[in-house]
Amino acid sequence: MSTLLSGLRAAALLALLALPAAAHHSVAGQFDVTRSVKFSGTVSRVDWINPHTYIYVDVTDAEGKVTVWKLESLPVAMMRKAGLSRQDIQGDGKPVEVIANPARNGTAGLGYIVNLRYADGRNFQFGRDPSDKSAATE
Amino acid sequence: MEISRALRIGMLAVACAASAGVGGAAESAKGGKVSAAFPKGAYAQLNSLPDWGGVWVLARPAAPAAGQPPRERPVFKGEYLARYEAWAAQVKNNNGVVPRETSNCMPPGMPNMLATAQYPIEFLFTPGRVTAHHEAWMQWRSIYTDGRDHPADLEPGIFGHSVGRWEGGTLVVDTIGIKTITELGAGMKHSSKLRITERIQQDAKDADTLRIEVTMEDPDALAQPYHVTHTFKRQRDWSLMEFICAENDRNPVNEAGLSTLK
Repeated sequence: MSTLLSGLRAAALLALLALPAAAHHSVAGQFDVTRSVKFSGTVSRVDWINPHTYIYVDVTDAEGKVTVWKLESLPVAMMRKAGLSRQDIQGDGKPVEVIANPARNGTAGLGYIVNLRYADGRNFQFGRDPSDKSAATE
Repeated sequence: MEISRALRIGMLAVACAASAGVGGAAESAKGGKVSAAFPKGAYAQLNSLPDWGGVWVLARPAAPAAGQPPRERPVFKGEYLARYEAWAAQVKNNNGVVPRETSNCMPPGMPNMLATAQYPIEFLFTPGRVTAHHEAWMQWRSIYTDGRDHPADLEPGIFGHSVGRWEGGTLVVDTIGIKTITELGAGMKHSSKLRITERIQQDAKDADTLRIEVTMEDPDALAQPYHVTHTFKRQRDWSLMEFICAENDRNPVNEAGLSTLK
């Protein structure tokens, strides 16, 4: 997938996040949108459902212990609007780099997806990384 | 044998009485008038209605143009103003985290279902009735266009009772009987006297744009009518998905009304 297409998708996803929503829950209420965590893993499961898609990423540490991160993301209709399918998110078992907002109450292994970068170069930006001070104003 | 025959006759009599009570089972378009209960014979007329096919996705409201007034805010009064101000103070003092009255799985109902982004809606036309399906919480509502009035003994609901009429290509809807558990917007409570009028029509120049102009009136809660317009963009080939909140309630609300993470 060309980086240009990834860029277009990035713009579309950012625009989606700006939509007003009578929220069934508040993202900022449950996740700390001022912080981000970064890690690498493989996608083990995708829940392609409403109200939110969920992605499970297996992260293996140096000792071989596996932690499963549960990551919340956009509703299915918004993934579709951005041109993303379940297959796009599932990846193909290759590593994916995740940037996510962590749970506000400190619960480990829970996050809201900010960015997914797959080993084949596909990059999906769902929001701005709060720790990225170099982000240009748009 | 005698007893069972009597029972069968009895059941048949009950069945006939039930259908006779609404004017007779064999009659269609009762008295020549289209009704939602008697649709047969009136399907061809649906073809004269506008093309609202496909599904509709709420678009982000455009910022007011330079020189134009800012978007209208509701003007509350009395105890409703006090309640809203108390809610706004809570938001400010708690980083946006405010205890909820209901679970996150409670659907918004009217009017906030009209403002729910990220989940499309669709309109179905049947004789005497328009049905709107909202993917969010799988809400649906009926808008009766067969000339009926609101019932005198209306039981309130989160969707209220809606009657409408077509003015050319515009559907004009009147809704009352909305339970006070719903909100006009975040933190905005209303009374049982809330009345919502909607004008739903496609853009004159772009058939793939639909607008719902909403007017909310509440003699107890609002000092003046409150107007909001929602704009939708059509997606012809999408269909609505399931939204089974109870299956995916990953943010259960605890006794303090706070959303937790599962």
